[in-house]
Amino acid sequence: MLWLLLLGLGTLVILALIVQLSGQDPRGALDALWRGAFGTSHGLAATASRAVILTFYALGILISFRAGTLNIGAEGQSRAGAALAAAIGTGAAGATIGSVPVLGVAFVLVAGAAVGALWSLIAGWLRQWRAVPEVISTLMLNFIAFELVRYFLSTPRLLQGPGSEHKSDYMAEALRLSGWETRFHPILLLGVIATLAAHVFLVHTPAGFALRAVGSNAKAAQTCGMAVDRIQLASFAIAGALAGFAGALGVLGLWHLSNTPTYPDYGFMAIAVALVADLKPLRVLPVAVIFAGLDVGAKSMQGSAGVSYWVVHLIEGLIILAILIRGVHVFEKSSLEAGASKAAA
Amino acid sequence: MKVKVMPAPPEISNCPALRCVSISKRFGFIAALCDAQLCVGSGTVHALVGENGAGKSTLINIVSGMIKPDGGAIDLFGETVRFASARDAANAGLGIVHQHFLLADAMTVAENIALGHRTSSLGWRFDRKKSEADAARLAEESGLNVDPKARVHDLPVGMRQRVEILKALSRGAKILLLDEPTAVLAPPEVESLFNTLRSLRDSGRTIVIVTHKLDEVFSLASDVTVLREGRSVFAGSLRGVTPADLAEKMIGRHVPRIFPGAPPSAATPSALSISGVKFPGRLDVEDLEIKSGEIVGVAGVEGNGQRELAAILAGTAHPPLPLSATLLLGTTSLKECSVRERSRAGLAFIPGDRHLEGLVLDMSLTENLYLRSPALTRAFGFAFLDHAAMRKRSGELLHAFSVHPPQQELPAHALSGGNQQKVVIARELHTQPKVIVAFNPTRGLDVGAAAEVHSRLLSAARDTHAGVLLISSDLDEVLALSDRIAVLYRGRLSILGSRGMEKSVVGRAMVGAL
Repeated sequence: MLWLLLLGLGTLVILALIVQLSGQDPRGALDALWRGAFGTSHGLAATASRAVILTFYALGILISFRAGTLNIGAEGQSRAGAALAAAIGTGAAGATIGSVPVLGVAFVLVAGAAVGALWSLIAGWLRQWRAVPEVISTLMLNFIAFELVRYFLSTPRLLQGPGSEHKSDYMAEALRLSGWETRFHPILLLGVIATLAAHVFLVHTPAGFALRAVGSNAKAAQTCGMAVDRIQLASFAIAGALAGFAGALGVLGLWHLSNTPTYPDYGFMAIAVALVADLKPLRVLPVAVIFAGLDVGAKSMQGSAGVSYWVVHLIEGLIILAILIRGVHVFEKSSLEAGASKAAA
Repeated sequence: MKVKVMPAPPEISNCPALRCVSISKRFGFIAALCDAQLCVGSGTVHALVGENGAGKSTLINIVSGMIKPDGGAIDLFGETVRFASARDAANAGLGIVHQHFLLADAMTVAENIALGHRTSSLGWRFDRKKSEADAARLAEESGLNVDPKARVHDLPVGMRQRVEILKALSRGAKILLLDEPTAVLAPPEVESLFNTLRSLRDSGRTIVIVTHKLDEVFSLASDVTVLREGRSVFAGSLRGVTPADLAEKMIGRHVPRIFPGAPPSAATPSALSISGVKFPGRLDVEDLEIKSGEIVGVAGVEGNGQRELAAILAGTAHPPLPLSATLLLGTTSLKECSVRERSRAGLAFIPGDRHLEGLVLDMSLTENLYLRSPALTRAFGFAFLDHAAMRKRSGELLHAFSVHPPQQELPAHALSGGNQQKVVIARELHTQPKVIVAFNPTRGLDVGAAAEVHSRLLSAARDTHAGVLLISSDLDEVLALSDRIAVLYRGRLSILGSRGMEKSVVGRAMVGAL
């Protein structure tokens, strides 16, 4: 926890330094940042909704990392989920689904999750079939997902909405979440529920136990009778489903799907969230709120203090580096073994 | 840091070659070496003995410049030296042969030897002819025959070790340090290594051999230093010292002798029977039957099919076996069974590498004890882990199997090797299995911990009537425990005979000379 505090302080100091170096007033910038993220009800709502999107991504990444698979394709998986949500939530299909009030929304979210899982499983299957490293395949599948969706959105008979280029039609009235990003929407509680569910799954279920064992030492898990391949495939499906769910949620909240992603690079920011949370589900939500706040606040800082929004990306990069330098247990298995044998010597 | 008062360091009057004075080294909270002394006379063979974790490897690594000591001094031929790196040590005339060879496998012997040099003559161009001639001359001079043009990955282990020794000699080593050199060798190879070392000693070189095998100490060395818990507890000539004395000094108490008890009678039903298990080029087990309560030991040099045999029995590998092959546990066929079904049927497996296959090092002891089947409780129609029950039971198991420290929440990597192995054994044996497959169950353990593993296996066989298949590359262990002895050579398993076999007979069978 102390380390988290240090990280937060370090972030602020570096941010202030960068602002100072660029010739602006650091106090004013930080002030604008804080007010933008948490100071107004509008800002708070935007921070909350973005934190929930980040939470879904980060929970998926966390489960993947805990299973020993380095799935970093949340962006693409979420894009797949979003595309399906836009496809079934607009036009005639949307009218049909929208005729059932709450269940319609649930259906779109679950369908998005399913497509996200399938997209992620491509990487899982490639890994098992030809030992394709998922760090690369999930990343490449991101590009493919993006270009596919871009093509769908610019093809009138597919996803392109009437009268708009590179945008889908608007979702059926009943499927639109009103007040997303402007006031606290009750659907955001799903983020809390997902966090608790991930915690219960990892800590209290036999499947979560097996998943953790496989992630820490697949060989020992196999020797003790755990189905390593199946568990790792499942981790791909879970991570993809959570990302796809978040993608669909974003489309419902913003009422349409656009070519320029609303939450650019959140799939990568979520890696930082999962790592700062030390791959523990219960820590994800507070960390996600901080990261989302940084993102929302930076936008208003750009407006009022004239400091570029992109400074946030710089900060994120630094945070990820700081975490990796400190050491993350998924990445240091070999060094851990070296330490153990050193102690035995 | 509190410094304990040490008894006066043991004295050897004449020690010109290598002298380590009061070497101390800590890793975190663990003191690996505490005021350790080592004094090696020029032109002698000196044995450095001690249990695992006594600090032998740490001391060797300090002497060879690989790690820096926290305190103390090293004298080489009367001059105090301070090594900044392993290269410094090599330049000063220290040659190290590590337990795990540091050779470039795809390169030739001559290239490997030349790699050790950092002379300007090497330059941009590599003179293959010259390096091969140099290597051949060196091999000739030292009596270490090995073909300079052979590629290292084609050589057997004993030959690779020769290459390591040649590498050290080619850099002008006057003192040769060998870390557990016999761990990987078959008995005939051990003998040839010892002859080599004797002739190197006769040519004026000084040799330090690290080992925990006492018979090796007595057949080779003239002096000995015993390390225990990082301190040198004995140093001096071996004259008048018995192996029992030395063992007691190593572990600080008497080594328990093994009383194996009587094997089961001929009428006892079979616990495990294997036949026709053939896997071309890797494994060929015609027929093997283990009775309930019997211990069958399989000796052999590493890499002769042990891994394959263990994996086929444990169910972690499923090579295409012939249709006629049978794998019976009692009357249950294991052939189509998954790992989980096998353990339900009563099969326990102690894997050969506890770090790689036995334990999940960063999970708690409780979780490790329950890796095979966690305790469950039902709620809302779902199965959840019963953490309370597991904690309670694991506490009992840790006590029953005398794991130290018996703290359920500790991650497995926090334990010493011996205690880690006890956790594996507790997990596998507490269910009173019908058959136990133990693969190198005491590798890397000290004498005390190994004795405890042995007594657990014996009690499982004699008291709870498990059939035990002990696959081990430690011949002494196989001879001490087994009712019947078999050998694996190039994948072929042949039963040699019953308890009381001559070690040399089994040793010859291990290298196919029978």
